[in-house]
This record gives sequence, structure tokens and C-alpha cells, in this order.
Amino acid sequence: MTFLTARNILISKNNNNIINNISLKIRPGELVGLIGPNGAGKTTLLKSLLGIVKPIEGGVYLNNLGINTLSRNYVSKHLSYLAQGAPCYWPVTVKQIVELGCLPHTYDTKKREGSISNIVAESMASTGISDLQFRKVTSLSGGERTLTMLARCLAGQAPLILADEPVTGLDPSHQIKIMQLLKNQVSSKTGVVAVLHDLNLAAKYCSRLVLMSEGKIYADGVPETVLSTQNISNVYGIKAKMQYLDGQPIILSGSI
Amino acid sequence: MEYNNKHLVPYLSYAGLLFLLAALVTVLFLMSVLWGTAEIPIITFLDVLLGNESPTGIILLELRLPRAILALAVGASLGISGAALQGLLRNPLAEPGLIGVSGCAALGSVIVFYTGLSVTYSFALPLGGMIGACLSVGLLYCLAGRDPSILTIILAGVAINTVAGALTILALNLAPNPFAAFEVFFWLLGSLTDRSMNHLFVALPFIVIGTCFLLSTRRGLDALTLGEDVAFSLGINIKSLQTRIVLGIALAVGASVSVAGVIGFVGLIVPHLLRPFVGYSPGYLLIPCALGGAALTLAADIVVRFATQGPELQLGVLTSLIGAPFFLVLVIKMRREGQ
Amino acid sequence: MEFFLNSFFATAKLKIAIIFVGLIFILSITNLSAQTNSEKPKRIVSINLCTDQLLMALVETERIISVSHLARDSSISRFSDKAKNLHINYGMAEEIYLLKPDLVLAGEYSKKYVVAVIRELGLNIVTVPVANSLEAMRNNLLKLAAILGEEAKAKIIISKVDNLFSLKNTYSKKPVAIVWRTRGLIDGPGTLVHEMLQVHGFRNLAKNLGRGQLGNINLEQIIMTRPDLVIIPESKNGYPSLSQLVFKHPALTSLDRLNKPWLTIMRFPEWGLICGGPQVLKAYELLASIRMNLLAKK
Repeated sequence: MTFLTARNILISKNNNNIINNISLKIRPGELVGLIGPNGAGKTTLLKSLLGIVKPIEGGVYLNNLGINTLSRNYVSKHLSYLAQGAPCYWPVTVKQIVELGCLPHTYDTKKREGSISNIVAESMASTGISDLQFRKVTSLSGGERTLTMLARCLAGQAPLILADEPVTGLDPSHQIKIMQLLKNQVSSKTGVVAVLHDLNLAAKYCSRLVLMSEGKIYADGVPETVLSTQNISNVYGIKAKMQYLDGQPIILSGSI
Repeated sequence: MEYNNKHLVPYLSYAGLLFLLAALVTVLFLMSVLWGTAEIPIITFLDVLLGNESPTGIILLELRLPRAILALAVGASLGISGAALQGLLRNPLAEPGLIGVSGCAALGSVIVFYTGLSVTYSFALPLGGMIGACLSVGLLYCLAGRDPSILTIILAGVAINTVAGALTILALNLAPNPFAAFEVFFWLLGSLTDRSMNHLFVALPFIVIGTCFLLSTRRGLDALTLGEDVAFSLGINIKSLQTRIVLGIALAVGASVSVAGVIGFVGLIVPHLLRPFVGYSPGYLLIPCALGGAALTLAADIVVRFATQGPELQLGVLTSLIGAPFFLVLVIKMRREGQ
Repeated sequence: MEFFLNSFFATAKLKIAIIFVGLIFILSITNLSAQTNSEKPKRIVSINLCTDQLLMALVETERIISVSHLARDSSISRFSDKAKNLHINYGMAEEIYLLKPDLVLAGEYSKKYVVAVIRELGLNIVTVPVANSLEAMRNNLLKLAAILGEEAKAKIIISKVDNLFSLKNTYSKKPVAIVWRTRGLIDGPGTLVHEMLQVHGFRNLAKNLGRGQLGNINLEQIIMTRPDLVIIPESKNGYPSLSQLVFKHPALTSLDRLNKPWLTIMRFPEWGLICGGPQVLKAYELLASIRMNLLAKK
């Protein structure tokens, strides 16, 4: 079981507190949606959970060990990161990208399940991009790129996936496909944290929502509770209401 | 990260590529040793092996061999440094010469030379070159490191080159004697003529250490394809990676420049030509570029030896004549591709 | 009326013509006298290393106002001791003008615009061409001797040159020599070096190899062609010279083990190899005896 905890972390840049005394516990078995308006500090919080950004005060703990004290290799085997915009600087093939996901396990000969090519093939199959494996990443659409990066995360076999705006700017079919894939990843031993802008997707797929505002956690719980009209109004400044259509939650947003 | 060449060049695997390049280097090396103004009959090799000294044998061992090995070593360091720098900065236009590494290394060597230290300590000249190279790579990283856009890199490189160039021509300007300035000026243009085993012993250790540093960064460079943050999440120690690349380039290029002068564009041409053959993987590019750089430099050095009329054609001048138009074509091509 | 006017004009024209011719005559006379009556120039400035050497060889220091700053460098200037007591200039028009010279000597490769400006400032400036042969050196000496008024001194030097001329084809056995400059540069036919080697009874390796006026040769070629004598410029000054390191190349050390010495190397002062003037004759003086030694060894 992998636990990722942030305790009283403070992150500041240019005398602005981007993260102001946040404590958060991530456990497997959840698809956690990290939501909030722009500038609330969602990406920064995600990066601090990964150890990319270091807090000035407080600390992040992976399995109760300080993330900065752990070896990079250990951390990379437990956390995988899907970065915003799915960056890729060289025109390499999809297969090469997915293979990169296996880097944390380069030196384990016994621990990983199956050879690299098997893992890669499986990851590509589960994300449905096997047909694209020899295409250059730079020639793919946004949705296909994100799927490639997701396959790369899966190839690493890390229990926790942290995704930064994985579906922002994608067409609806890819949005749904990717959110569904992320949900499929959640099990008793694995979990996902995703930064999301779309409240509908957040409500539909996430089992837990963390609503951020101005560097603090405003609400943390199930979508019905977190996405109350009062909360949305206070944090986003808009009038919205959660309704149900065929059992699926929908946020109808009104005026300011 | 493995790479798949199926759609690029049929039947050429990574091992195949390395074998081809190694064969090319071997052929050029032999040509460099065997061709020249002096006729070296095959029997000379026997003499050398048996330990008999003969004029042709001495020419072989003391003149041809060090020159060929230096061309190989210098070319390999330039090739691998170019590939590593492009991998680090994630930009195919980066090159040790364009970004000021060679210029600063040359300045370091000129200063050491002028103060007369090079006569007293044989290690002073490559050391001066390496300190100069280190300063420039460090400076480039400060100016352009976090934002590897082509504009920032080129501007930073221009700035560093300008400073190094200004100080070098200051040294030339204040030379007490025009013939001294003349000499330094031509040394800067790059040459391997009449180098000896002494040069080799002085420069080779640093070149080897630098190259080893660079070879250790292959995984990290591959991971950097996805950006620094993702590479970090995959377990790559970014700071260590940057340090190893900076040090590796400084040692390898610094030592090369201090022994051979400024030989530019090898670090630009070779990675560009070989990148498609390794599936654009920056980590896999390193070793082929070392071999390719060695091949290119050996070939150029063979060419300069056959232009005997008039003053000697300098090696750096030849590589610039090939490299500058190549760079131009590259820029035009990249503009068209809208990168 | 017309006739009167015509005749008046005719007379006027004639008068003008006469006056004009008279003026010219007077001016030319004064010019001639300026030439013949003028003493030798008393305030001479030289802005070029080679003309420095010619000047200091021919003229006493009282008449020399300034020489170029390079004249004080003992490796490239034979008269560097003399130059230490002279004012030195950096070849700039303004400083030359302020020295109020009555003669300025410049070299063929002195900056052309400086020469032009000095001329425009009304100073008497003479350009001495580079001497690429003994003939050219001789002509330079004659021309300068006349301008400087030192015909006597020049005659002595010219007689030495003529002496060398006469020796040119008197040698039966000619060893092979090469003057090997920094960066491997060698002087072929059509240069002063080539001629100096010839008049001293040597064959120039550069010519044997088919090089033109300026060629290059590397250590390997020198080793294989094995000339009887290799002349290299000596660097005394203390600043380290990259090219000097070639002569300590391990290849030569190894070859000396085989056949001691593999090459006979002679060091010439640099001032003997860069300008065509009397100092060149001095530098090559020893060649005659060296030639005898080389022939004796054979």
C-alpha cells in the first residue's frame, strides 16, 4: 500500500504563498480530482507531491518517509507523472516513449513482471494505441499524445499516477476515454490524482474531490458534498447547480 | 529506451550502425597513417613491431600515429560533445563552437601560452583550455538552461562568443611582436600538423575522462526527451546529469582545443546526420556521434595534407567551409518545418 | 581700330607668354637648386621596420628623428640597441607630422591611407618597395643613398652585394638547404631567401620540390627529403613560440639516435630573414664556412 502525504506544506515564490499550509493524504483506491480556479495552486501542489517542487515549510512523505530523503529510483517506482501538455522534444516514435516508462526498472532483473517488450505491448494495448506504435509523437493529435504518455505511465507500473490536466483541450471522445482509463487504474493497491478543470468530468469520474482556493484546501470529500452550490459560488464565483441526468451528475453553470 | 529502425533504414540495427561507423573510422585511420608525402612500405610495420628503428618507422610512430590518434580523439570528443549538448538543451542547433565553448577554451589556452606557463608545465595548456571551456558551459547554462528555446540559446552563445572573441583579439592586439600575434592567430584556426606523442599524452587522459562522463548520461538524455520534470519523476537526477554533461564537454572539448586549436562544426554536422539513424533518441546518439566525429575529423585531416601549394590549409578552416553552409541549410530547413 | 586692338592683344598675349615662361624658368631653377643645393635631409623619420634597418645602417643617429616601435625588438631588428636611444613612433600620421620631418620613409606595406595622409600634409614621403631579390636590394640601396645623401656608405654595401652576384655560378658542388619558417612556410624561387642560398652555393629545397614563391612543408617532408642544412628563425625574446616546439619533436630525437644528427639545423636571427637590407648579408655570412663543413662531411 502506497501512501502519499503532504503535512503543513508552504510553498512560496516571489513572496507570494502559492501553497499556504496544506495537509493532504492520498491513499490507493481513489481517483482524486484536484480542482479549483486558475492560480489556486493545483499544479504546484501536484508537483510538490512528486518532489519536483520543494516546500519551504512542512514536508511531503511517501510511505511515511520524507520524499527528499528517498532515492529518486524508489520514488520513481511508486509515483508516475503525466505532465501538462504531454511535452516531447524530439520526434521519436510512440513505442520509444512508452519504453521510457520502464526506466525506473532498468536495473531490476527480477522484480518486474515480464520483459520490457511485453510490458510495453500491454500498456499500448490497454490504452488502445498499438496501431500508432511506429508513428512519430509529433505527428499525433493531442488526445493521442496524452494516451501515449498515459501508456508510458502504465509501463512504469507505479501504484500512484499523478496527472496534470490530462484532458484539458481534448475533444470529448478522448476526454471520456482518458478519464475512463484513469478510473480503470484505480484498485485496492493503486490510485490516481488528476488536476481537472472540467467540473462535469470531475463529478462523474472522481471518487474524491479536493477543491482548492488561493493556496488552501477549501473542501475535501465526495463530489456531491464538495460541489455544492455554496462552494462553487464561493470559490469560482459563479452560480451553478449539480443535477442528475440518467444517474450521471451534471453541473449546470449559470451566471456570475 | 530501445529504438526501432524499421521505418527509417531497413536492415540497419544499432549494432549495424556502430559496426559501419567503426569500420569507416578504421579505414580512415589507416589511410591517415599510411598516406603522406613519405612512402611507407609495408615492411616498415614489421620493423616497428620487431623494434628496429628506421627513418620510415620513426615517421610512422612519432609523426603519423600521434596525428591520426589525435584526429580520432579530437573528432570523437567534438562529435559526442555536440550530441550531448543538443540532448541537454533539447535543440539540434547547439554545438560547442556556436555556443562559445571552443572560443573560451581557445582564450584559456592563449592566456596560458602568453604567460609562458605552457613552457614550464606541459599540463598547463590543456588545463587552461579546460578551465576556459568549463566557464563557458557554466555561463551558457546560467543564461539559457531553464528555457531551451532556440533564440535564448543562440543569444547566450553569441554573448559568450563575443566576450571570448573580444578578449582573444585583445591579447593579439597587445602582442609585443606582430609575429607572435601571427602565430597565435593561425594556431587558433586549428591544425594537427607535426603534433607528437607528447601532445597525445597530455590531452588524451582528459579527453577520455570527459567522454566517460558524457557516456554516463545516455539514460538521462533519453528521459529528458519528455522534459525535465517528467525525467525527474522517472528517477533521473537532473542536477547530476547537468553537471556531468557540463564537466564532460569542458574536459573533452577543452583538451581538444588546447592541443589542436579551434575546430568547429563537427559537433553540429555529425549529430544532425546520424540522428535519423538512431530514431532521434538522444541517448543512443552519443556513441555513433563519437565515431562519426572521429571519421569526419580524420577525413578532413587527410584532405588538408594534400594541399601543399602555398600556406598550409588549416583544419579548422576546412571544417568551417563545410560546416557554415551546412548550418545555413539546417536553419532554412528548420524554418520550413516551422519548429 | 581692329588692327590696333589685335596688335595690342597680340602684344599682351606675347607679354603674358613671356612672363609665364619666365616664371616657369625661375621656378625650375629654384627647384633644381633646391635639389642640388639642398643638404641631405636632417630630420628623417621611418615608419616601417625594414626602412628602419636601412636608415640605421646608412645614416648617423643625429639625423634620425624617429624609427618604428618594432625597431627596439632585438629579435626582429638588428639595430635594436641604436633604436633604444631613438624616439619611436607607431606609424600614425598625426605623431609623424608633429615631429616635423623633412623626409619620411615608409615600406611597401605600410598602411596606404597613412602614407596618403602624410603626403597630403605636405611631407616628403618615400616608399621603399620590398626587396625580393639582390637586384631589388641593390636598387633600393642606390635610390635611398641618393635621397639620404649617403652615397659613400651605400657604395660599401653595394660592393658586397656585387661580390655575392659574382659568386653566383662559381660553385661546383651545391648542398641542399632550406629556410623553414614558422608554420612550415618556405621561400621558393623569386624570393630573396632563394637567391641568398644560391649565391652562397646552396640549392634551395623549395625549388627542388617545385614550390612557388611561398610554399609549405611539414616535418615529415623535411625528414624524408633530408636537406643538408635546415635554417630556422631563432626566437630569443623570451615570449614562447609555438613553432619552436617543432624542433624539439620526439621524431627528431629518435632520428638522431639512428644517424647523429639526422638534420643539421642552423638558427638564424629573425632579423636576417624578414627584411631585405644589409643586415641580411650579415646573417648569411657564416654560410660560406658551413658549406665547406657540409661538403667535407660528405
